[in-house]
Amino acid sequence: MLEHNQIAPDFSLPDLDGNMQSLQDYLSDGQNVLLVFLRHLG
Amino acid sequence: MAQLCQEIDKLQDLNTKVIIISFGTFPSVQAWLKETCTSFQVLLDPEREVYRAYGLERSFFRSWGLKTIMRYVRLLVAGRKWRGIQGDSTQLGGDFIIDKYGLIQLVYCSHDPTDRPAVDEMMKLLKGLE
Repeated sequence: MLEHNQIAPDFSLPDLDGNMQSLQDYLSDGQNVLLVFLRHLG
Repeated sequence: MAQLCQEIDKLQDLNTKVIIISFGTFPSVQAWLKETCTSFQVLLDPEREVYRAYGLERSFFRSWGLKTIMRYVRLLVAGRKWRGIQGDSTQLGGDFIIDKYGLIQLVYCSHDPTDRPAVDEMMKLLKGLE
């Protein structure tokens, strides 16, 4: 179980155009990230 | 998700990127985006490796309780099209806020598919990171 103030696990996944995107890419732009993991309800 | 979509401008003002991670297939995610919010960046995780890395569980009983079924009924009555279930329907979701330093500021693992963190609370947390 992840905890508050822990370093977020990095990942690299394809977007809908097939380009790989990583968490580090967004963070290196100086942005906060809100990650929403979909359920089958959407 | 619709409520989160309405906040997209405020989220940008708060220097926050919304990333949706889905275990669905490409066509199902595209259809879902058209119905909900085309502003979101979506990444595909069909093997659910990142779901596991973030500690999200699978459960048939929590995924298919009465609340979930009633939610589907309400969505269908409201005009949502039934596209079938793509991928592993027992996979539970969650929401995480990661600050610009890469530190986790919110961990929210859903108890069932209808369980989501309040958008207002997430906006408040993000304002606090400014």
